[in-house]
This record gives sequence, C-alpha cells and structure tokens, in this order.
Amino acid sequence: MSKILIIVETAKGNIVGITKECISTARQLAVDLSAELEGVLLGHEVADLAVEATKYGLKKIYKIDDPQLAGVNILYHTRTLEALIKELDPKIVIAGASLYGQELMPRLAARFNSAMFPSVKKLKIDGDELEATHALFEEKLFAEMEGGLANLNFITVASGNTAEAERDDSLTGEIAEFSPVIEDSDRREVFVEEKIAKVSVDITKAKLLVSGGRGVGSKEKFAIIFESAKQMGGEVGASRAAVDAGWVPYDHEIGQTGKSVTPDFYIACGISGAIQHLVGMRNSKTIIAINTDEEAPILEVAHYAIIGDLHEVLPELTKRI
Amino acid sequence: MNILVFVKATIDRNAPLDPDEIFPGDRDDKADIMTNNYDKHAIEAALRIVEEKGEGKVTAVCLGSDMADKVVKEAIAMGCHGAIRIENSETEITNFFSVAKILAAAAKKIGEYDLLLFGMQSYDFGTATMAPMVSEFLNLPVACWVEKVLVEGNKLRVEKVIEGGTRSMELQLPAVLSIASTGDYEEPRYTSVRRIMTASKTEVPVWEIDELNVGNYEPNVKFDDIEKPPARAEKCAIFSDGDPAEMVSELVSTLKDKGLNLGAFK
Amino acid sequence: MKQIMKILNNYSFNKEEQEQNQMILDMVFELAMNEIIEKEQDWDEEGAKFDPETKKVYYPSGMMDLYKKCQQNDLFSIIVPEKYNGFELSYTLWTALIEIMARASLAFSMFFPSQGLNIEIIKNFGTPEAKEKYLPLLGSGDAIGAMAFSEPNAGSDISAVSTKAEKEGNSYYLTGNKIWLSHGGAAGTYITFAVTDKTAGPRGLSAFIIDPKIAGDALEVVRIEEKMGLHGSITSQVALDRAEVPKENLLGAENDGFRLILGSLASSRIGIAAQAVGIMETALQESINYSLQRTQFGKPIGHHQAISFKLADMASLVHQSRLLYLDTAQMKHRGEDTRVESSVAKYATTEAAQSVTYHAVQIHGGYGYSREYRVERLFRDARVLTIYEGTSEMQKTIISRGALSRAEK
Repeated sequence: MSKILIIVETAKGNIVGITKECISTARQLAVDLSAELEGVLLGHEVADLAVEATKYGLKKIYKIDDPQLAGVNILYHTRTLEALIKELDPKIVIAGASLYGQELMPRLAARFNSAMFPSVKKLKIDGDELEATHALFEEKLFAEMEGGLANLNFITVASGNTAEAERDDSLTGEIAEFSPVIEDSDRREVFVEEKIAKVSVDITKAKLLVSGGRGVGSKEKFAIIFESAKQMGGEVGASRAAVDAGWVPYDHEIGQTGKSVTPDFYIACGISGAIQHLVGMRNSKTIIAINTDEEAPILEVAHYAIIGDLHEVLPELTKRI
Repeated sequence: MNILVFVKATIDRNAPLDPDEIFPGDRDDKADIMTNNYDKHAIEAALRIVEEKGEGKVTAVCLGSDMADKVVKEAIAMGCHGAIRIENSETEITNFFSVAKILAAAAKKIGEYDLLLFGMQSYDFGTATMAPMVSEFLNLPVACWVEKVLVEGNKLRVEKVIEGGTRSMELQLPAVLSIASTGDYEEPRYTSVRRIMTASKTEVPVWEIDELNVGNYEPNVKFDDIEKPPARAEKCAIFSDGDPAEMVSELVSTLKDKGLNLGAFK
Repeated sequence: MKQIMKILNNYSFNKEEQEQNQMILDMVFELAMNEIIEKEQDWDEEGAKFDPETKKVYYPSGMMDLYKKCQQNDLFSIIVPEKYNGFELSYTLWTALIEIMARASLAFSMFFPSQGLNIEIIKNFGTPEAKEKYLPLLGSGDAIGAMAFSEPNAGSDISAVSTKAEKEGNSYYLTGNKIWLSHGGAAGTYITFAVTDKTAGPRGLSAFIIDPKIAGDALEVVRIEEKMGLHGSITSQVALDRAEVPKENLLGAENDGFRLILGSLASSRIGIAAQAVGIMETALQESINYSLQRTQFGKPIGHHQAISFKLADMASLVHQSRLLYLDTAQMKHRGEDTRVESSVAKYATTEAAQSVTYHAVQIHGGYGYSREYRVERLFRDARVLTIYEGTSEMQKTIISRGALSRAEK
C-alpha cells in the first residue's frame, strides 16, 4: 500500500494546529490514492506526543527520539527525513507551511531533485495528477499548480484553509522507532537556544474574539480590549503589531506567526489587516471590523464594519450586547 | 566579507494586477515594476554586516528581463557595491526550482562569497523556497527568517523568528540566510541622491543563463492557470453615518435580522 | 508620479538624467507616502510650539526625524553646485520634489522652497567666503534656510523695510523687527534686507545673510503665529537688536539688495506653484476615492454627473497647473529670465488650488467639514498659497506690468 507521510510538528510539548490541518487535508488524498496515512515525529522525549499523534488518525508514527534533537536543528531533520523517505518511499510528504515547514520542505525537496507545492490552500487528486492552489500577490491572485503522481511530491499546507483534525481517543496506531541520521558535515548548523513567550491562554477555542491592533494606540489603551472581551464573554486576540509593541503577550497573536482562529464572531479593533494577520482569522464565521479607515484591507474580509474610533465604538457595543 | 544578495523584480504593489501580465517582462512601463519589498531587508542586512565589519563587498544578483534593470540600479542606489543581472527575457522562468538552480549556478560562477542573502519571500509568488533550495544546491548551511546576525570569525550567530519567539543558531561560513522583514533589518534604508548618481553611472554586467551550466531540467511541478479569486458573494456592510451609538444600533439590529446573536457568550 | 515623469521626459534630459530623475522621485515618493503622510494629521493637531521662557521654537513630534531622513537621502543638495558638494541637478527636478512633498504634507514641504531660495541667492550673490561656508551647510541640511523679508509695515511692499544696518568695522549691525518667518528660530541662515542708505529709498536697501551663530542673542524669537492652516510649520516674529553680520555675509553690493532679491524671488514662486499642485493632487485623489465609495440614490456619487463633472474640472486644473510649474522650472533651469512666467505660474496654480480644495470639501459633503477628513486640512492649508511669497494681487501687478511694457515698447 502506498503511503502519505505527514511531518508532525511540535512546539512547547504539543502537536501544533497546522499539523492537524495537514491531517485533515491528507485524509481525502489517502482515500483517493488508497494510501496509508503515516506520520513522523522528531524530537527528544516525545513518546507521549507520538502516541497522541495517532489519536488524530495517523496509522503509524515513526518516532525519532534522540537527545541530539532536543533543540530544533533543521539540518538534522532534513538529513534524517531524507533517510526515512528513502526507506519508506511514500507518494506524498506533507508538512505545515509554518516557519519550520517552509524551511524544511524546500531543503528536502531539493535533496530529491524535486520541486514542491509550497503553501497550498487546496489540494486534490485529478487522475494521475496532484492539483493544488497557491496564492500569489498576497492573495490577490491564485495559481493552480499541478504535478504528476508518478513522482514523489512535497507539499506544505497553508494554515487557515481546513478545520483541524479532531482528536479521537478511540483511535490507535503503531509506533515505530527510527534513528536520527546526522553526519559530521551537518555540525555546520548548531542549535544554540530558543526564547519563547510563556503561554497562558488558548484563544483557538474561543467562540468570540475581540482583537486589537496598532490602532488601539498604547498598552494602557489596550485594556479596553480585555474589558470588552470579558464583558461579552470572549477572549482577546491581537495583531503582530500589538504584540511586537508589547501591549499584549504573544499567546494572543493571530496570524502568520501566531494562531489561526475560526470563532463565531471576530471583532477586529484598530487592525488594518495586513495579509499576515488575515491568513489567521479570515475563516471566522462573522467578522466585524471597527476602524477609522474605510479603505483598510480588513474590510476586504470583514462582513460588517463600523467606521469610527474604537475607543468610542467598542464601549457602545459592549453596552448594547 | 563578500556578500551576494539576491533581488527580484516584481509587479509594483500599486500597479493594477492582471492575471495575464504577472511578470515584469509582460509590462512596458517601468513604473509598474518594483524591487520585491522583502529583498530590501536582505540588502539592509548585507550592508549593515559589511559596515559593522568594516570591510567587504555586497553584490546584488538579479534574474530578470531588462525591466529588472530598475531593481538592479536601486540595489546599487541603496549601497550595494556592484550588481549582476542574469538575462531572462525570452521566457520568464516561473518555476522556483529552476530559478533556485540558476541562482546557485550564478553564485558558483561568481565564486568568491561568504554569505548569500535572500528576502524571506517574494511579493508575487511568495513561495519562500529560494534560500533553503539554493543552500541545498550549494551544500551550504542555511537559516531562514533571520532577524539578527552576528559575525564571529568564520561563524555566524543568527537569531531567527519562530512561532512565539526566536531561535539562535550558529552557522559555519559560507552560509545562506533569508532575512525577516522584522527585527534588526525591519527598516531598510532609502536610496540617496549621491548613490543614485553612482548607480546611474554604473554598468551592470548581464549574464546569459547558457553561460551558467545549469543543465536541462523539466520541473515536476508546474504553475498552470492564474486567476483572480472569486468575488465575494456578499460585500462588507459598512456603517459610517452618525455617532458611535447610532452606528452600533444599526449593526446590532442588522445582526439580529440575520439571526446572529453576539450576546450569546456572556 | 507617472504624470510628472511623462512631463519631465518631454524635456531635453538625456537617458542617464531621465533615469536619475525617476530614481530620485521614486525615493522621494516612497518617503512621502510611507512616512510623511502618516504624520500629517498629528502635525496639524499638535502644531509647532514656542517656549517664551527659553525663546526656543519646536517643530511637532517626529518632524525632525523625517527631516533627518531627507538629509541622509541628500535631498537638500539637489540644486547645490558640485563645487560645494552638491549635485547640480535641474531646478525642474527640485520643484517636482516639492510637489511630492506637498502631496503628503504642506507643512513638511515648507523645508524646501526656502532652502532652495537660500541656496539660489547665496550661489548667485554671495561672497566667495559665504558660498564656501553656507552652501555646503544648506546642501547637507545642517542649516535650515529662512527668509526674513516681511516687516510689520513692509509686506508686499518690500521697499518699505525699516530695519537698519549700521556698519562698524568689518561688520554690519542690524536692528528691527521681522515677521512671517518660516522656520524663524530654527534656521541656520536668514536672508534679509536692511536699510544701509536712508536717503535712497529702495535703492538704499542691502541684502544680508544673518548667521544666528554669529548674531547670538541679538536675534530673538518674539512669538510664533497661530495660523488658519499649516500648523506644523513654524512661522515666527523675530526681533533683531544690533544683530552682527560680518561683511562677508553681505549679498551683492551695498545698496543693491532690492534689485537682487526681486530677481531671485521669481524662482521661489515656482516652488510655491509646485506646492499648490501637490495639495491639488491630494485633494483630487481624496475626492475620487470618496466619490467611488460613497453611495447615494443607489450608485456611487462619482457616477452622478454633478460630481463627475466637478472631478473633471479638478483633474483639468491639476494637469494645467502641473504643466505650468514644471515648464517654468525647466525654463529657469535653461537659464531664461522667468520673472513674469513665475508670477503667472504662482498666480494661476495657487488660485486653482483654492477652487480644487473648495470642490474637494464640497464633494465630501458634511465629512468634508469634519476634522477627521483630510480635505478639511487641505482646504485650510491651501489658503495660504495665494498669500505668501507675494499675494495674487502682487503677481497680477507683475504680470500686467510685463504685458503692458511689451505693448508700450
């Protein structure tokens, strides 16, 4: 039976959301190709995570657990995965188009002298071809890409296009051990350290998000976002601009370098709508923008917009709800 | 310290977009062309590394048609010491895999380099594949989304963006980096009149792809149709008349009419 | 941008010069549209400040940071001769730069016309010592150039100047009051007139460069004006109390100041015309955007003829005005006498700017009257254009004199 191999990405002791989106995306492919859905997980002391991965529908996990993989070294990952892929001979290798996946996959593809499908929004099988959609010009145009299934195909999946696979504890899968492959020349890239903000909230499950951006103005003024979210029974989101300015901790960040969210209501306050933010929130069911600028790109994805000062509008809205 | 910084010409952000004219070579007005904005951060990084080291040379390398001359000149006008354009006039090469092979071959032909810098992605195709692919073709270490670079002898200490923070890596030189649009190089410098005068007097050598011994390769993944996204079924309903209370009232009653209950979560 | 380049490329620039023009204006455009325009509303609200205790003047927050970027990008040295570390590029390019800056912020664009006039006058009439000293300073932007022409009783009638200059040893000592000084208190050079021969009327005026480093406390800001618009720019009243001016800072010959400055003023008027076009262009763009967004009676208001014809009138005025100032600048660049043409350009474009900003407010309806909208500021800012650097009435006097004298010959 042919295989589809999913690269399971973990961060802070969890399987990241984008991997679960990859699994969702790959399920239909597995059916169409009558292929087995398998995963590979690299790291150190990741036995529990390997078991967890099977709960999302991966039939077999190649666990590569080694102290040398304690810190993420993409060159070690590339070398090891190269060996694993040679051994398994999968039809398709899929990773999330996270910062990790976007660095790893082109390297892997190059080693197999193969192009790849980068950051795809949609993926399907048509006969003996794999077809995918890739956004150009920051989503102003879309390109259809195609590649023959006779070759090995590498794909990264863009976040925010499919629902994440749900965890199902009744599912089981096989765990197989695989050893890391690291050559002396690979020591040219050395992991030193990681600095990661502590996470205290999980905004991805919220049904209502009140989200603030640069337009909020200051750390003090950001209190209004927290207050409104609390009163309306939602969580607080933020754009990268607000996080970088230090107004709100990273765990609230939504977008390319933050979380992808799909709440029932997303209230974007003072967020102009850089594409990096939009990719993380545009699949929200109802998007309400509060902005002083009627031409802000956020209005391209919003369903409703109030043009005005969020510091006046938001309290009114809170009052009325 | 010899740095090669790879720059790309794309359709200008403010120019009208047409699915049939997505390559600079499709246009006849230079005002429709810009330097891929992400590449400017890479130029900034290259110039700063050389300035901090007190020695070195930055060469901009661009694969493009003569419409890309503007981009090459802009790189010099920002401060690059020289530039090379690789002619790509007959057919714009769309496949990033082939582009990566050509750029790697160009680096090989240039020969003397310590560092290859790329922008973190392109505005047009946005595949973000160049730095990692070129590093593989040249068998060099690589780090992507780099926000900070420290040169320590024949090693680099870099800080790169990861979700929720940064990761530090140490790379042996020569190496390949893609530079993030945030961090130390967030604000690329402008061109200046002085450097523009230099740029307009600088002859930029033009290389042919044939000189680079790239070899023939039929890419296994192809771009096919390019289309505009389907128009939104329902446009954004904008409330912009009246004071905040009136606008909020209108919004709340519209939501109610649609059966949407914003108050369901209290 | 495309419009400016289309016109510039009509002139006799060679390929290399065309490329330079394009690259410089691209850079100016990027700076103006990415950074300056963002601050424009804040500058208007905050305004320039004066501290009566210390007598110091302040530009609004962030303005000097952007001024520094203009310095780093060598913008002030465009028309400075190569000999003095400049680039000796065309006056045409210089005025196009002013238009682009004025599109983003009229207050910010105020740094350029007066700098240009200081450079022009010192280049043409300064002593070798003054050129050596001040042209590099003005070109690098380390000195802001100011013009101290008006006095309480001498506005359009410059000959009524009462500030007197007394010569003692190798210096002149100037005493009097000067008003409406852009950048007064912040400048590094002030070009001014003073009476050196009381008995000779206009023929007894001399022109000087006051260097505040030499004058010291003898040059003091008395107050700054609270204006209808242009809030971000400093407009001061300055008192001179025996302000020392070394004889190297005399411009031209003694008692020849009036003739000399009148000739130079002609060129700075082209800069004001460029500012007018900058304001008009923005007013037009704001109006176009608004009239496509705003829907009344079932269609965007831009599709109603009442509005679309207004837009057509505005677009025509913008184009005519742009041709006018660039053509006059190009004439000057070629070394022609443009005294009358400069007045025509200044008069026609600044009056056109009144009409264009008026209609821009009208198209925006109630919003046009709201401080939140850009056109409200454009309307206020534009008002000064027909007044400073010679009122429209003064321009008409010059134009009619030119026309009559030709006919009478």
